[in-house]
Amino acid sequence: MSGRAGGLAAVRPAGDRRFDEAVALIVLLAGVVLVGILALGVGPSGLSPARVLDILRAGPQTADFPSGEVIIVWQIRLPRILMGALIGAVLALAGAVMQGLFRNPLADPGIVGVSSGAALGAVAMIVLAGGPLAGIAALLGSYALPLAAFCGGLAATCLLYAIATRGGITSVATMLLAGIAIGAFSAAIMGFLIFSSNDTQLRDITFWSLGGLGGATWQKLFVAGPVMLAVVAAAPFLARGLDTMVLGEAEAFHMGLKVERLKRLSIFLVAAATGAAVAVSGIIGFVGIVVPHLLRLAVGANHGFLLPASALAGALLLILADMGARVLVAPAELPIGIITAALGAPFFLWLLLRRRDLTGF
Amino acid sequence: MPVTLDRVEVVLGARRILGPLSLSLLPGSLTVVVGPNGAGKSTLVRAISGERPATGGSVRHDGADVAAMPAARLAGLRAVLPQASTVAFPFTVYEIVSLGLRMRAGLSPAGRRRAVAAALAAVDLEDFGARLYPELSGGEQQRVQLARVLCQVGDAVGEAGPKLLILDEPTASLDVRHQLDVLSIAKDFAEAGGVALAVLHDLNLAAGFADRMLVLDRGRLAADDAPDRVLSSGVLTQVFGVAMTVLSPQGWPRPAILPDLSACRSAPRG
Repeated sequence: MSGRAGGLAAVRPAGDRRFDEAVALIVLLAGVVLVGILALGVGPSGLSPARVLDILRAGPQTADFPSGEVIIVWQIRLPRILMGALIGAVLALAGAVMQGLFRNPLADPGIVGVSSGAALGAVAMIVLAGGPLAGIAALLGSYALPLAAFCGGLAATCLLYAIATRGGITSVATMLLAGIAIGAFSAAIMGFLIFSSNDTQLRDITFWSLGGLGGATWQKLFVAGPVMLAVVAAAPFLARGLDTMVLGEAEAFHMGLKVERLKRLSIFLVAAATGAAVAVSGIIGFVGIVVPHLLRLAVGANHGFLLPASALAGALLLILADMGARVLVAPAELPIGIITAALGAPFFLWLLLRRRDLTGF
Repeated sequence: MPVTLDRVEVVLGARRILGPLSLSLLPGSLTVVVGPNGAGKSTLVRAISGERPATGGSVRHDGADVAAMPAARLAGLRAVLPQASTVAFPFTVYEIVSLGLRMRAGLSPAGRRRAVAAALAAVDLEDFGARLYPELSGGEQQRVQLARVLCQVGDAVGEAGPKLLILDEPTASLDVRHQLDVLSIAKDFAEAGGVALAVLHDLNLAAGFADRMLVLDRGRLAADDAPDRVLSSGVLTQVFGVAMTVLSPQGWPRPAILPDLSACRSAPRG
């Protein structure tokens, strides 16, 4: 066995990191499962991991355990943790895909205004559902909010790409500045919508914009979950194209890539991921910038690895952040966005300074 | 006729950037394009590679119109070395070179490893596989890109006929030895039966390696001939607006050319 392993290592050429990448993926997957089980037991009423596993095995209808514990695990914490894992996964994926598309490690839906666009879509749906959008809201039911957030995110991403990219070359400065403008403009319209909303709508908006996973229920999971799962499942199909894109659009074309198709798919994916996440939990920033960057530094930049690994590490990060949100100021709860921003914003600054030292930026 | 240009022209708005020009690129020969800045060299290369199709006329590769060919099929017929490629992410040299194998589906894993190793050896970077691309010097990056391009073209003659290798100012960031190496690789590719096309600024490199020299001036073909005849015709002096002396040093196989440094500002512009 060891001889075989040695033989494998011998034929593996220098610079081929696929073996390390596979190991990292397995470790991350195990980490998500372990931390997920741990998180099910953490909270105002603590449960040991063994007890959590027993309750999970017994099923949601079991009478073998105190009903309070069953409800806490099955009805309160499990949907919340699954939702957190999915949101973390799609946010990190959206970041990784955007960075590949813009060929720039500073792109992130939260920083360049895509999340703001999605938030605007969501707020517009909440406020206008009683007026101009009543027909659409009635038709779509509980899908109206995610869909509106998706449309807002899509519009923002398309606008951003149109502004920041010229002749296949993306200007970082233009991208970041355009992101600020898109974010500010979205905020202005959102402000106006909130200003003109009635008390019920205002309560809905406040509840939604607090973000966090506190409101996660099985019902919400069934609405947004499939979209997010579809995003996670679709992302690997972009991997080879995004790898080719790292050299630039012209080179990607020379190597046989259908560049325009890849761009459209990537933009669609980013908008779907951001829209679904924002509709459920408000704006949770910086997951998409921290996770892919650390993975590239630690293991590798190949998108065949980076995309699934970002999904797993994003899930891991958000489960941990949510655990922190529940524990740090217990019995109260911190909005999870505060934790990710508190970790992510200094990280983003560090990244900026490092780039400035390297490239004069 | 592997690559033929028929009345190719590129007109943007009211501005004629290239052509009309008609010519054929033949297998077995290295064609070098020279000309002043803005003469249309890059535009010509983009039209031939299919990246920005000509606005008039046609470029055909083995009879098939390049503008109408899917990107994947074109990628199997020709490869392009760009002037410079920046990569924002920490890919290893091995990973960048392997990207060139993207369209070559029939290779076994061992075949892919061998192709990458051979390409890295060809550009004198055998031990660079594990290095991170963004940390290399400009010249090393350029050689990695050449290795990637060599992986993409594979053999000079494929099942569908001779392939086309396009090098767009490949020597700009290279030291003199690697300039010679890169052009030798292009020359070998041509001698193995492929079609090689390079855009060069260095007239002596062009004269030293080209089988055929195209001189572009304001979008038109000012000369299309063997290098020694192009050099002796005086067309370069006219096109570049710099007086030049052609030398034939004893024992050198090719002529060399020297611009007149003292007169470069006042030389007449043709």
